[in-house]
Amino acid sequence: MSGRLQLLRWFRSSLRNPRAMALPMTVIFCALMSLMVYYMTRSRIEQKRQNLTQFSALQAHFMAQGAVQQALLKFRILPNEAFSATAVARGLCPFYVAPEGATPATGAGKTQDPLDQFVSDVNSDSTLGIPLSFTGAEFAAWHMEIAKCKALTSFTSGTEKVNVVSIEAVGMVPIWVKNHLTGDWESSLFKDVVTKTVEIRRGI
Amino acid sequence: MSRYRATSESGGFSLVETVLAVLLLGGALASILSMVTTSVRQMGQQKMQAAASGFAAGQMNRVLFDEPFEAVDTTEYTEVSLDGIRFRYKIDVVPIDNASISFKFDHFPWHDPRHGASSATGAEPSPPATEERNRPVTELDSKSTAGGIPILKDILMTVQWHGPGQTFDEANSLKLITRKARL
Repeated sequence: MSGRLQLLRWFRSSLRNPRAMALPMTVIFCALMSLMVYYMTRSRIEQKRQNLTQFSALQAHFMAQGAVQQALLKFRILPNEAFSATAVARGLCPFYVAPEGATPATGAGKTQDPLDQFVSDVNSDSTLGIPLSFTGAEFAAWHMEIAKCKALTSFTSGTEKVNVVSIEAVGMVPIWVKNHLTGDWESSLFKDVVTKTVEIRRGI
Repeated sequence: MSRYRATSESGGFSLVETVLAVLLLGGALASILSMVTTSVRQMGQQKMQAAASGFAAGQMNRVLFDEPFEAVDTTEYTEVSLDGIRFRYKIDVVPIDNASISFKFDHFPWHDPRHGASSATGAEPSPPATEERNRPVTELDSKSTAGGIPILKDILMTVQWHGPGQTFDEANSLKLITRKARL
């Protein structure tokens, strides 16, 4: 404390005495420059963090896009099953042709269950789904899956019955994040969600 | 002679003070300059990283959405120069063995929709309860293997970049993975 007071006194006396201005001016100049460099460094570190996050976001995004492709393939291969599952999720019989313009009734059997089951194997799991072809420690934590599949609506349009489904795909990649409570860097997962809406049509 | 002698009031720099100031300024400027140089160089690196991110996204979107499924194949490095930054990218494609593709699905034993439905109101009888359906879920094996044509490909894109006077290395590298289906 006394050291700081002494420094302050010396600084004040330097300001009063023009003969001793060189040192205070140098100190002030250096302090300002240090401040500038500090903020420059902080901005650079922040930019670096943003870039790394952007990389992870990009990786997770394309993993999610991969899951969407896999889901679309399943819809393409099993259109009848997809249609049925969507109809049940809406509480409708898939063979029932509602009159055009009528609001589809939602029956007691309305359940999301068949749709969830339909997309339960659309992921990169080694046991449940189709595992990634690229292996190794680098890609061990990379994962894609359909997190949610929801029947949005069902209606009759002309000579077709239409079921509208929303697919929510999630891509996950590892990322290092700083825990601000402990100050440690911890491994975490960066997730990106891609939503795709598709129409499944069946001729009447 | 007295004209040139500094009085105590008007003052001037003492030798000690000047030497100290010069030393302090020199040391500070040297360290600040080195930090500024590092910052500027790394800011350049980060600008390149941001550019690489956009470049990689563009290339991957092209492969995923613009190129036909059959045309997507493994390539060697292709070099591109954009805004003074040198990029190179390659694609590794692994067609997924069709025999390993099997999708689960549910069977629905439906009632006759014409019985009990009122076409005038749009109301319909309830679908079968969950337990009435044919469970457990069965697997559809190799339905997609007709003709032995792959219907799903795993794609790994590696993008590398460098600035003027540098070379490609693993430090400046970004890898993206996706999956493309024959739709």
